[in-house]
Amino acid sequence: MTEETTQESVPRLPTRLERYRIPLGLLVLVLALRPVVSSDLLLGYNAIASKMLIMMLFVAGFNLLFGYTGLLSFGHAMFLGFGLYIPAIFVSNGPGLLPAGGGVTFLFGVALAVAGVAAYGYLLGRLIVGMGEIYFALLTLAFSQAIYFIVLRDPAGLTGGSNGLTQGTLPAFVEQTRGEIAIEAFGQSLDWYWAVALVFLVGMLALWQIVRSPFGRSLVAVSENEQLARAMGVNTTRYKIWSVTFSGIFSALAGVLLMIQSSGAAIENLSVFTSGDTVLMAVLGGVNYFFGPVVGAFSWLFVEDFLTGFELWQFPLSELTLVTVDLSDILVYWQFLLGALFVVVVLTAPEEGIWGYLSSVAEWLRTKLTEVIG
Amino acid sequence: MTLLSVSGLEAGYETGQVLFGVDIDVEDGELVSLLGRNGAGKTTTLRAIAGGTEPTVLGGTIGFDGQELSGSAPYEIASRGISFVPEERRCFPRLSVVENIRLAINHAENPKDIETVLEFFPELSEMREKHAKNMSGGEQQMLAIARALAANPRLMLLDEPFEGLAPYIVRRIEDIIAEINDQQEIAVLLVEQNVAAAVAVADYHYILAEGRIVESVSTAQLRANEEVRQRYLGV
Repeated sequence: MTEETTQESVPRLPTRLERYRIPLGLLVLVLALRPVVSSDLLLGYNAIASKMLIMMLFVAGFNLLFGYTGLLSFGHAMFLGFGLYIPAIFVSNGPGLLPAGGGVTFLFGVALAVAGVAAYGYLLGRLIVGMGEIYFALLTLAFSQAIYFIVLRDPAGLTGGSNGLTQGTLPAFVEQTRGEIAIEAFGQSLDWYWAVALVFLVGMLALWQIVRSPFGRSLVAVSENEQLARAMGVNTTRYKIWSVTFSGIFSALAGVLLMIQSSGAAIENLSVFTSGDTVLMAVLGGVNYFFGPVVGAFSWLFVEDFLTGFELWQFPLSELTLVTVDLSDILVYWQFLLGALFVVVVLTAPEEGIWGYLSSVAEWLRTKLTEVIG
Repeated sequence: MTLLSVSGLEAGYETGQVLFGVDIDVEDGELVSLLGRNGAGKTTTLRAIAGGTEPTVLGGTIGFDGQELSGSAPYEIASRGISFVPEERRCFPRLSVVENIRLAINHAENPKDIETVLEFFPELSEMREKHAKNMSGGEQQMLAIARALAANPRLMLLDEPFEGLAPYIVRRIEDIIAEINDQQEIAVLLVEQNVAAAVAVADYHYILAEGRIVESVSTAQLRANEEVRQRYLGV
């Protein structure tokens, strides 16, 4: 009873603002991310910000399947691969009437990647969602490995094998100068970060619409209590199949962005390590929350980059150093540090993650604050 | 008219057979209870009617509105007008009150309006956005019944709806069940160990012992027949 009264006495944000907190949060995120993380005080280069947005979209796509439907995919890299390889193959080869390097060729490749991943996701879903959770994880891993090895064999000289595709994969409207990418279209130049931000926003808003729609609420029901959902008339198998399909589409979309970001398709992105990292990022961030994958991907990439680029600890400032400690020997083990954090998350609150922890702290602070003011 | 007609039902799990020929009839709009001690097969009977992977139906027929149910998928059974409220994990914890009810509405053929449903549950309409995981046991039971009602069924299957609840909430839920049965003309098959609560709401009672129906009595007969109560129910 006390819990109820404290909840009610806490003044909430105006309801309209509260209702749109997810789109507002996404907007603030894209506006603030680059100025903050790319500043000289933190990571100091621009490409990391767009990389972060791409991985956030990818992990969020993964979490539609894991956090919202309760299906753990251990081979999500394969979906990323569709977006990574199909447009790259199209642009570098220029099949049929479409010229190599053309913008239309690229868009055609993207359309085919999305259609292909949707068809593949649907068929794969039909084949494996009925097998139970453990077999779902194992079979996604198996299929992902099968795709990895097919791409590695370089069929018909299309995929470039272990070298990946690095030559002529960018369409004409992508300008690259000294590592900075810009989109040149209709006489305008758009910075790559903002192009990514646009796709990110559209993708994440679409995802938000899906999870709050009756379809998305049914997915949550399936993940929480499949038997009850079934008894209520939910055809749970159909929902799971569509969840695999949509999750694949969002992940492939992230793959398209990653192809341009890294000027080509690298086979490492198809490997089992990518799939594993995806699971870890989602769990680290909190699979029960919309912003969980966002925070998870951010923390992962930030820690990776910050710690590996941080070899000397100079105190208090690099210009005025009193103490210098060489940390390079320790920080090469950044994955160990992340792993330790991951263990803490899983042991304390496996579904809550960093975001769940942050929101409970925020809730606690708000309650305390109201007590002090009131 | 007989709405549900179970006859000679045999069912069981991998570990062994539980039901050895159960016969139950529920008339249209009737409120019937299925009583029995722990392990008598009450929940198994209800689950066999609702469908699903467990238990396996080994023999007999389950007729609903003149059609055979056994072998159908649970969602098909639900779409014919049967709502099932299980004993445990009755609600979806991460969904709010409104979302729980909407889920039933979105998956029913001919659902009720959400406001019509909430009229029966003033307690719930005051906590529409509350998540089920933050609700008390009694509130969750109300939500589960509200969700079953939203599908606008012809038959509701309730598995021990009073278990673990405080006496005053038991009375409140008795009232709700009676009200729904009376005003909405929805038949109810109620599984219960709490004989007093079952006697308070149901018109007719089947008594199950060791996988067989051993008695079928009206409320008045059950009240009068101390021997039956003693032998099969221990009260």
